Order: sequence, then structure tokens, then C-alpha cells
Amino acid sequence: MIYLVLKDLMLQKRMLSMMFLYIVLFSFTFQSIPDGQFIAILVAVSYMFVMMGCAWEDKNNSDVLWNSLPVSRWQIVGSKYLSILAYVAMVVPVYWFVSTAFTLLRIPVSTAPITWWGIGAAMAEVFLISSFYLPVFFALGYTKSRYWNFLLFFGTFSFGSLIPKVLPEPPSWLQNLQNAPMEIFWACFSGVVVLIVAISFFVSLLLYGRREF
Amino acid sequence: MKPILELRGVSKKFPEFSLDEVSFSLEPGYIMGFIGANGAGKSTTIKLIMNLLHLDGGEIKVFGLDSRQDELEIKQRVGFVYDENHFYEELTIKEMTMVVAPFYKNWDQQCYQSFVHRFELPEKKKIKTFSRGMKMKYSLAVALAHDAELLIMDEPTSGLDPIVRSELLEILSEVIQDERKSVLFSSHITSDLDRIADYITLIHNGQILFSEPKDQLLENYILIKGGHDLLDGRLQPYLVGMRENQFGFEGLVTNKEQVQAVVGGKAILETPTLEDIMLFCTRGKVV
Repeated sequence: MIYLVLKDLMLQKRMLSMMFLYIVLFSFTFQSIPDGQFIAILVAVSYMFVMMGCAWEDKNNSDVLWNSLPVSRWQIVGSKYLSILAYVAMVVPVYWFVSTAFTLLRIPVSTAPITWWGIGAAMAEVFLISSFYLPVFFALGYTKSRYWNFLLFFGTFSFGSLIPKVLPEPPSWLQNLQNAPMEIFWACFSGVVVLIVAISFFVSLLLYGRREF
Repeated sequence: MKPILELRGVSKKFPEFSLDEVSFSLEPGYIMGFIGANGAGKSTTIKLIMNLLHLDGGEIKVFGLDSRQDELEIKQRVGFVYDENHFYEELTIKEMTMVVAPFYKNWDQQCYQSFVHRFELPEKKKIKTFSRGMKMKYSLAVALAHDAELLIMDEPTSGLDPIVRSELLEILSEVIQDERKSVLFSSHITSDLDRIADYITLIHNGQILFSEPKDQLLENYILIKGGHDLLDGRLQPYLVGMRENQFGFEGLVTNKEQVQAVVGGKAILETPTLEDIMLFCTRGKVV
């Protein structure tokens, strides 16, 4: 499976210059949310790479290749989830490079510092969005799933901030959790993310198993 | 001898097309030409063998193993060359091979390099810069580098120039020197198969019309050319297919001796090509 991830990275390395460009662009765009700037950039750019990774598969009709090789469908599906980790890991050093360049060149753009907490939160968010996208991708392919993808991507950034205003008061157990020690909160949050990703993976596997090429 | 590939009663239904009870088998050490017109069901059959499509009925065994249950074990021993490139166009073949090779237990890097050298494939150029022939050769190098016992080729020569086609046929002849190995070669360019195939399987409208040794086919069928006066009904029982024009007719018949007795010296009898056999068997009588 690691070689399928390696393939994703080799395809994406050609987009490295685009990654710089996106990070510069998003640094300006997300200046208004200094607390969430780093996370928002990490999520936006990493998720764009998830999408591009799926688009490469469609462009090359590579399902025929992988399903003709001695590669199981769970490896094909699993590699797409595993690649998310690799994409986030790729974006972090590029973000550091861009933010350092802004400082050194005295470009008047404020950039948030890199924190482990931010990396973890961004990773969780990319996994969450991808968990809602990948089953549709594995069921329908990239071309047919791109409208859903568009909705997810822009919905997350456009309406995500509105959710707390629209939703009623959270239930008491959730309020208790918010007031709980950080370790417990993060353990619960991580558990929920892992559960959603696991469900998403098995649904993807089920749907991809039904695909014909 | 145990067949290397065996299809029994294979069927697959689509809204506008269906494969109907497809059965044939291929023994080790032979090349089978899988012929038929475009849309006859060749690619569908190959996709079913490769498990790219789900079976609606029947059974496919490769190396005596079930094509569904033992899929990964089978694919370790199968090489494939398709009519289109499915490798990533943005990668070089060096990168592509780096990703593909680790999946094969029997990958032989030296053997792969020898084919890359022989085919003069530039390792550092992106696959998208390759010609159709080079892409096919790369697929073949990958297929041969893991010592595949069964090569499955879906229209590998379509769109290739005669020199590359000839090179491919030479390589297949070399491959088949190893009697453990077999080739299933689908094509509608029957002249390629005239040269190298041992068996011919003809598919038409999703049904197998015959699957026989090529030499036997060429012995069983005779191409006949003659005047309209010969079409008085006496040839009817032997005619597989024919076409008429203003000067006379041309047709495919069986039973050479009896046909000779009927026509005497009034017709020209020739050994047909595979193209003649395919044409007349699938078109029937065309006036």
C-alpha cells in the first residue's frame, strides 16, 4: 500500500509550485482569522491535494491498471486515506517556508505560527471532509463526484463558521465535554474522528468492490 | 494437460449487449487468437477474465484457480497489455516501474532492464511523450519482467505500424518457446494471428462461434469463387457465407472433396485467410 501512497506523492510533486501559490494566496485570504489561519490553510491546501490525487486517477483511467495488478481493492482504497497524512506532512514545511519568506522579505502579511495542536486539528478536519467525499469518489469516480466535492469543499469554508450561530444550544453532555480537561476532550474528539474515518473506509471499500471498469 | 485458462458458460448482461454462455480453454505453450468484429465481446470477455467486470454466470479458471477467490495469486502470474495506456502519463517509466514492481513477487529487474534496453525506451521521459508503440512496449516489458505464465493482450497491435507489430509478434514467438507460457491475443487484425496463433476463437454478438486449432480451421474451410450459374442450390449445404457481385460470387464452404465434386473445374478453390473465415462466418450470406 505504501507504494500506492508513493505514487500519489510522485504525481503531486509536480504540483509543488502550485502548493506555494495556494499557500501565499490563502495567507492573504485567511488573514482575518488569525487564530484559525494556519489550520484553514493546512486544511484547504491538503484537501485540494486529496482532490487532485483523485483527479489523476480519473484522468489516467488507472482503476483498470490497479485492478489488473496483484493489488487488492482494500489496498487501493486504503492508500487514498493514507495519502491524506502524506499530504498534510507535505504542506506543513511549505507553509513554514512561505511564512518565513514573508517575515524575511517584510511582506505585510501576518501568518500564524505552526503548532502541533494546529497540525492535529487540521489533519482531523481533512480526514473528516475526505471521509464524506471518498466513498462518493470510490462509488462514482472523480468526474461524477466533483459536484459533491465542490459542495463539501466550499460548504466547509463558507458555512462552517455559521453552524454555531444556526444550531441551538449544544446539549448538556457536550457542554460538559467542552469544560472537561483538554486531554479528555481531545481523546473523545479523536475517537469520533477515527470512528467516522473507519466507517467511511468500509463504505468506500464496499462501494468500490461493486464498481466495474 | 490442465488448461491454463478455462471459461465455462460465462455470461454477462448489459442493457444493449450480452455475453452468452462463453466457453473455451487454452492449454500451456500455445497462442490463442481471440477474434471478432468491434463490439463482438472480446474486451468484455477479457475484462471478465481480469475481474474488471463482475460475472453474471459461469466460471473462469486460470491456472486451475478460481478467478474470483484466488484473484491475487492469479494476477501474480498474469501479464497484461491493453489497447489503451493506463499508466500515469505524468510519470516517467522509471517512476512507474518503481511503483508497480514491488507488487510482483517474481519481479526480475535485470530482465526488465534488458527489455527496456531492447525496446529503446527512454527511462527519464514522461509516458505522455511516448508513441503508441512505445507505450505498448512498456506494457510488454512490465508483463514479461515478472515471468508471467499467461499473457492477456487486448488489441495490442491496433494503431501500431507494421514494424512495431512485427517486433511484437517476434517477441511473442520467443515467449512461447517456454512451454509453461500461453498467450491470449485479442485482435481484429487477423493477419497478425495468421502468423503466430495456434488456436483461433471467434466471437460474434457475444457468442463463441468456434474455438479450434488454426491449422484445422484452415483445412476445414475453403474459399470458393465462381459464376452465378453455380448457385443452383447444390452448394447450399456446404456454404458458410458468401457475397455476390455482378461477375459471380465468392464464398466460404466446408467439405472440400464434396464441393469439388459439385463444381468440377468451374470454380476456383483457395485456402482462406483468417480474415475470410471471420468475415463469412459472421456475415453469413450477403448478396
